[in-house]
Amino acid sequence: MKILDRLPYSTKSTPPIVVRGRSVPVKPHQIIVWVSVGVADLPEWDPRMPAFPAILDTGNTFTFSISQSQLIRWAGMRPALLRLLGNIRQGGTFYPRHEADVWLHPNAPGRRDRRADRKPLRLPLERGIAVYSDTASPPPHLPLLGLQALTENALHLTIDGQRRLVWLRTPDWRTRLIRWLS
Amino acid sequence: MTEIELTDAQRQALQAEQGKPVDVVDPATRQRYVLLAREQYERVRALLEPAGAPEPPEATAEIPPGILRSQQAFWRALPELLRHRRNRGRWAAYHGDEQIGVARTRDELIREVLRRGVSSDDYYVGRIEPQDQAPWETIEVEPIHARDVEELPPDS
Repeated sequence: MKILDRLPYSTKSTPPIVVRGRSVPVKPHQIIVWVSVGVADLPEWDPRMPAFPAILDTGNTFTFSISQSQLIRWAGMRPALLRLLGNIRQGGTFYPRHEADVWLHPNAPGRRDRRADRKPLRLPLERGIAVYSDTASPPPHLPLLGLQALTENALHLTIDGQRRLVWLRTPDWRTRLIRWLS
Repeated sequence: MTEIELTDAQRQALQAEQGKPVDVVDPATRQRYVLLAREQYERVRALLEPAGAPEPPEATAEIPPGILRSQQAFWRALPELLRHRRNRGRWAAYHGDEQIGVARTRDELIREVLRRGVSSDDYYVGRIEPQDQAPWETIEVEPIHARDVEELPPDS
């Protein structure tokens, strides 16, 4: 199943994204995806869960990282509602790991906007998500979806640097064929 | 750290050096040491201690005891769970030392946990995959993010 279909990114600055009335800059070479965050025991997708942008960051070695204020304002969740599973350490500072699932929204094919008529894909994250304190330096301007989230869920990512397009899909016959051909 | 009191000669040498480090020699072994003020030692301490020295525990958020106990039970059971190939990629749930079950999806196990009325601070659900780090251990994350890198103009 395709989750991201010809998702564009740019080598130049692009217009900022407006999240809950706040303008968030997008830098060149940033792949922007739309996500929601929910408790792990949510039985199924709830359309009332707010969606917000995150950076797909394959250089990030964790699953998903978000600041406390983004979690509250954008995801509509308080960290205290999420079970504590442990910590991460980044740049010598500890941040808590909370149990949560990330829901990754499909994009409108060829566009950065999310596709509202399709359900998002749930990404169960065994090690949870990292929640930065708002005093973290430097404060993250967008949440990060790291490589570990894609790996844990066996997703197949393709980046076409020539056309500046991104595909992401769950394993199926196409991914098996690509693997066989490569 | 062991504490040794200064001799009069050492105190006089330190005063004469006005805060600079003082060379000390053990006459029996000829081993040389450096005597320096505590404030100076604290500045270079990180360089002298072995890498990976444990951080003070108060800096970390504390895992609820029931979750930690369940994580430890999962970790102890993981080698045995991995011995059965059909378990690979499945999930296992623990309530303290008790295994609640093994299932293809985490949802099935969470439903069972809720059905049994287990408190949210008393269970853990882990994936049955080879892992090199226990679930409760702190995960080191690369500190540099692309988002924080600004392209600076060339020097003029």
